[in-house]
Amino acid sequence: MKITLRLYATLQKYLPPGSSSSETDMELPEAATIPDALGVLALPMTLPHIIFINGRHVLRPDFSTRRLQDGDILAVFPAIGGG
Amino acid sequence: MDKIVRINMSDLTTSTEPVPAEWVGLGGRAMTSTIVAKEVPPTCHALGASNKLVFSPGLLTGTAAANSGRLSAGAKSPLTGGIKESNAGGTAARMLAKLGIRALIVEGIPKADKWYSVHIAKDAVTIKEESELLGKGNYSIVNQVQTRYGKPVAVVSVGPAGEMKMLSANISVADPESHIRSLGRGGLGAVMGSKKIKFISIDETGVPPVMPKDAAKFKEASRIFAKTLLDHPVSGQGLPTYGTDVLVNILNEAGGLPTRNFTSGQYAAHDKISGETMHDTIVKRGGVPTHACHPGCQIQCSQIYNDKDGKYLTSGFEYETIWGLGADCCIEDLDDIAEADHIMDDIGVDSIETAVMFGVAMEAGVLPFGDGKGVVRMLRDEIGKGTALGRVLGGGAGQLGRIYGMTRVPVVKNQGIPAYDPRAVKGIGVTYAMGTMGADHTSGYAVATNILSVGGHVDPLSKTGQIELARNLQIATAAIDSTGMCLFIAFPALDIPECLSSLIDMINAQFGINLKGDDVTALGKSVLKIEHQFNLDAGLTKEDDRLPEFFSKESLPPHNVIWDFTPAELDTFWNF
Repeated sequence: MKITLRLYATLQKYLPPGSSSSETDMELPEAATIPDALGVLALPMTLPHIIFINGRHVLRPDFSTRRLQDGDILAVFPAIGGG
Repeated sequence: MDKIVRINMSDLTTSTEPVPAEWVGLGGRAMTSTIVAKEVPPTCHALGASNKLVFSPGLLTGTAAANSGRLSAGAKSPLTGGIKESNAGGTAARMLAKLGIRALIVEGIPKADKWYSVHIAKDAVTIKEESELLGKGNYSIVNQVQTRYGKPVAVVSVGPAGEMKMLSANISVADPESHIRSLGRGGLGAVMGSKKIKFISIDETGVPPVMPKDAAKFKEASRIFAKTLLDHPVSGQGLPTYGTDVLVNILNEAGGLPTRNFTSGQYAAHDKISGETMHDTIVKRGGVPTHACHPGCQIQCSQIYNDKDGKYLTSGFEYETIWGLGADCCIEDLDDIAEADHIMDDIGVDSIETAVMFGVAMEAGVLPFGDGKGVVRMLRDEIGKGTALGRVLGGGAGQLGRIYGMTRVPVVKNQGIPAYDPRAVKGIGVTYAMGTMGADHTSGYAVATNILSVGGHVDPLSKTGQIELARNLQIATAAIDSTGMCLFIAFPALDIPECLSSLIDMINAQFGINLKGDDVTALGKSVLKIEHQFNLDAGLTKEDDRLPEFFSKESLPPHNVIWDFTPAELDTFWNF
């Protein structure tokens, strides 16, 4: 299946060379999880603080088990804030 | 010796009095709101002689406590018709605190058609007639006042917008680099302008540092407090690196980034105005990505943004400003937004109110969406010069909407709604509706828990838990705003217990008292209730605690959500 991965702030350095500033498309096996996707880019699971799939938060207890579906947009942020 | 200083502009006299017993232990917002509620008739005209403009440093301002240098200003707001407190960094708060001035109360209006300055030093408060700096912008005022005194005195000033008593006028406060911070919201610059004060300068020469009653206990608490700011990833890493503008991308992902005058929750050009792009641009041009807005700030979320030639363009370039002119007005060029930010600081208008106003103006056809050069021109040549159109634009989003017959006008209590759509971030919607200040994200920043996973998580798209969240955050914020602390200490305070306990320990060590956590909560509740009662006495009603109708009628893409709280549900906010 194919997903779009978006990485922001300090996580952008994990994007493959040649990516646009924040996103890359990925081919993953069916039923792949979030760690499967981030593992392709060697992004440690200790770094994400906020994760969205299609604009909806994934809660922290589900970070390691949530399965992805074809066409998903996975967006991952470290801890950030402002206001 | 702590004191209250009064400046009476009706007879051009000053006086000093001891802090009354009932005001001992108050600072910042608690002090300004208490004084305004006690001394300003709620039904008075906000630009008339009965209104008072009150400045107060926070309880811990002037001490060695990290991030304690905020200055509060309060008055009846000419924009909202209710009470107002606005706070900013800069150097003025620390100097007032060192001089022992717990509150500076500006009263009355001069009889003569003349302008004045006020100078505050160790042994004297002086009112002088001012003519040379009339019509000048804030950058020029700071520069010339500091040149006059030959040293970096603190400067609190109004630009041309304040002189013209525009409802969007703010009050500027010089920062450590003699750049501009702003007491931004609610038209306090118009109140200062109504009192014909162009600037207040403060000289701390000859005064000793503020010393705690228990130095050892203060030092230990201060160390623990500072460590929590460093340890929390938001205050220790995220904010120093990217500034507040890092929020563009996350609000866009969450579908809560108000775009094209609040008609969508996502902006296609978000990458062009994001904190990541701003950071890279600043570094490439030799600017400063990490900068403190006041002495002793450890978080340093401010920055200095240079133009393409590497010359200073603006600083304190905040998310809400960039969102407003970027996503809400669809201006993709960060340099245009930065130039507009510089002009807004210089002429002295609130960048949130003004950006929200431009979003409405673009929908009204005053200028096209995306017209950054047009915004720059209108700021400089219309608002800055007080043309007829400039006076219309300078009255803020609500006024512009009424004049042009618009229905999609994002304001609460006539104050522009900032950078988080209440349909997709429902907790902040409750804060906008119920806040005593009008729409003000800083008065109860539910975005932290709705979007940023700080202090737990409450689903931003669900109504569940939002009223309780907004209530608790507004109570806590009213207390934090009274300490002189930057609101961003709330990020560690929501996640690290030692942050709040060490803050209370510092207050106790400073004053030799024994506050508990419950006392701090009680202070926050008390401040909110004082403010709410002032608003009711001023003629505001429950019906003013509502969002504009369009939020309930128009669904917001991409989640296609509406604002769905009932009036009865919202009114439970005040059940405390």
